[in-house]
Amino acid sequence: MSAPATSFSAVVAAAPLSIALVGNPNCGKTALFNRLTGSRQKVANYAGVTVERKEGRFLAPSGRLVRVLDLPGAYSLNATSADEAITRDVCLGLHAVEARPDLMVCVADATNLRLHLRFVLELIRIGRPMVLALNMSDAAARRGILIDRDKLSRQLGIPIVSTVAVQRNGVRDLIAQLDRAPPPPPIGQHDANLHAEVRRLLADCVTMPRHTAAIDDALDRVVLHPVWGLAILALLMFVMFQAVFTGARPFMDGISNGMQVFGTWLGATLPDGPLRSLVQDGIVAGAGTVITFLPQILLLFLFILVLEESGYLPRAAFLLDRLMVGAGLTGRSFIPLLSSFACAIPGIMATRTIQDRRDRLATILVAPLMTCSARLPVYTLLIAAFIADRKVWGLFSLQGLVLFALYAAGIVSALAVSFAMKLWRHRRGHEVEEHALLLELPSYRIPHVFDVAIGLWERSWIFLRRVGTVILSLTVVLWFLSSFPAAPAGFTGPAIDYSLAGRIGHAMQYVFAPIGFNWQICVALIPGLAAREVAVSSLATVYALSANTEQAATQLQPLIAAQWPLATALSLLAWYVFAPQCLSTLAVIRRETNSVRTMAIAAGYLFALAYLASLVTYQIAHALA
Amino acid sequence: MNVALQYLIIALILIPSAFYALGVFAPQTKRRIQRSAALWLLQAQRPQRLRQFGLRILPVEQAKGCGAGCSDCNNCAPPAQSAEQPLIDLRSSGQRR
Repeated sequence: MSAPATSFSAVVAAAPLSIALVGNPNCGKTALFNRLTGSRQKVANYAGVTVERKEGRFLAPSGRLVRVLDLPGAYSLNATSADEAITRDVCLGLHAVEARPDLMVCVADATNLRLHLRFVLELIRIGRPMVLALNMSDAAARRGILIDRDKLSRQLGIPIVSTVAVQRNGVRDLIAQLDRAPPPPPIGQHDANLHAEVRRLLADCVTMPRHTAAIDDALDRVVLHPVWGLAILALLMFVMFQAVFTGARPFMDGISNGMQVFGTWLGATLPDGPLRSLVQDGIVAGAGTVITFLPQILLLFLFILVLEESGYLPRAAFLLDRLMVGAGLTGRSFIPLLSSFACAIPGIMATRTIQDRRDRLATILVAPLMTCSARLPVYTLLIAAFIADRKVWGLFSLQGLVLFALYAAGIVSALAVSFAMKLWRHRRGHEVEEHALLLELPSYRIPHVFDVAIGLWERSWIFLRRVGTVILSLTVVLWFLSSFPAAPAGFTGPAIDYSLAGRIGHAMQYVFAPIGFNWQICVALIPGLAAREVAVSSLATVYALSANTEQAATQLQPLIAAQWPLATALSLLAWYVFAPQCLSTLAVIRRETNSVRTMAIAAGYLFALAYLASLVTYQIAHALA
Repeated sequence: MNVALQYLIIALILIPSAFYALGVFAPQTKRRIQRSAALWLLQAQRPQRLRQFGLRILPVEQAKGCGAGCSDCNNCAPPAQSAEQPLIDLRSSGQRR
């Protein structure tokens, strides 16, 4: 091949071959996309992970530049949800921005051709050049499924390749196929009944010992049991939050000690003056405090990633469908809501898989109530400072139980809010439709260690990037506002009271005093609007600037434990269960609903709930104290 | 270290931080300011270096959607492959896959 001699820039400048990966949900399109382009888009073992088109490129061995589009999964070209509409529009050349691809690579799960072949036939009818990639062909071979590829290819009129997207060499045949001239458009059978045609093709070309894997059936008998299934789900969640609190503690202590040593060293190295204050009280005390929560966040994501990869999550959605429908949601809301435990933003975007507009809106409005990972630092700080580190019944950590209760409070309030919305719709005379949950249950899979490791690495990177950008910049700005204007000579009281931040905090206290917030908390709420973890770094900065001793400046937890009453801490915890302080979430609600009014309703009701919950918590705790 | 020098270093840290923070709270305002500043620097009578700097800070039109770098998601989205990302070149390592 002489192609390698061609200059790199000439190849890149040439018009690329445009291909689109299409197929049913959860057939491995994104894994294939990642394998081809070297991207690291999110993959998981359930339907609906990709909800918008993704683009990447690679240079094939012949030197041909290939542009790859990864499209959301669809069961049919008759789109029933927002994500399926994107796929339909691109395939039919109706998309506003994306031109029709030169070649469609239809990806089908080789273990589930009974379902996937129907969409293949529908795509063939479009009459565009197409290749069929039988993905997960290794799993099919393990289950004894024999596919006569040549015969199937002749009958469909398109080339067929076998792929294993999760293996390094698993896409060699597909790349070789893409490197050849695109196949001619297939001649579709326009009048054939698709289901009958699928049955005929399966009978002709596929030998399948049984429709489902025996191990899946055995596990599902327990996991989907109406009683045992729910008990297993509750136990899994409980263990997860216990482990998040207790398992991460040694690593957090290690990072915290490292930060303290670093802060002390900086204090000794830098000359006395404003620069030392910025570095020590602002950057190290503020952003440094937030970094200590990285192990907990990673442990939480380890559980989430393993559950995602295993194929358990759609089963959990199935188990909770009855509860969800009773509360005015749908079983399809489960996965968006579970994604919201990481961050409400991907959760809100994942609601695109919900067909019914009202169900989707209800899910979007309650998604911010799920406890996102950004709240974890706030919870951990307050729990560690105010809840005794002891065992309950000699087995469970009390602190872990409180964390579990806070997560449960988020879930219960989400269900309560959606139930209230359902009642409100009912009273207004809107018909409340209930849609049967149709959900594809994937095969169970042992999570790939490499994929989980990559997922954790990405979460670490995202977290550290947030610390290095949003949190660091806001901490620096807050340090400035807390240090200037400097107190004049003869000013009695802490210098920070004279600063701009001090004055803002004192002014806000009129509103927040009934819920027990002091002025330092009030100040921390403002930068916390950008990201919830910033509230921790802001508190650390404000207290560091107010502290008299160097040791106190680097230790937020003992400071608040000594200065805050328990009622204030509980009130702040209640505030963070509901509080809407995340501008990004509100921006995504506006974008996804295309409505400023919906965004305002979300912000308004979350703020009102937060204030009310904090007020009740504070007043009761205060009275009991 | 001289106190004036300390304040200069603080200003060099504070100004970009404040500008970034503005982008978090008011992204459109930040883009407008950035665009105005870039266009002012790009005027023909400005020195070459200033014009180059203006070109660097001129905000580009952003793609829509997750991972487009629009900051809507506050860095929560996984990174998407951008035009700047190195291409996977299979010409010399065809055996790799």
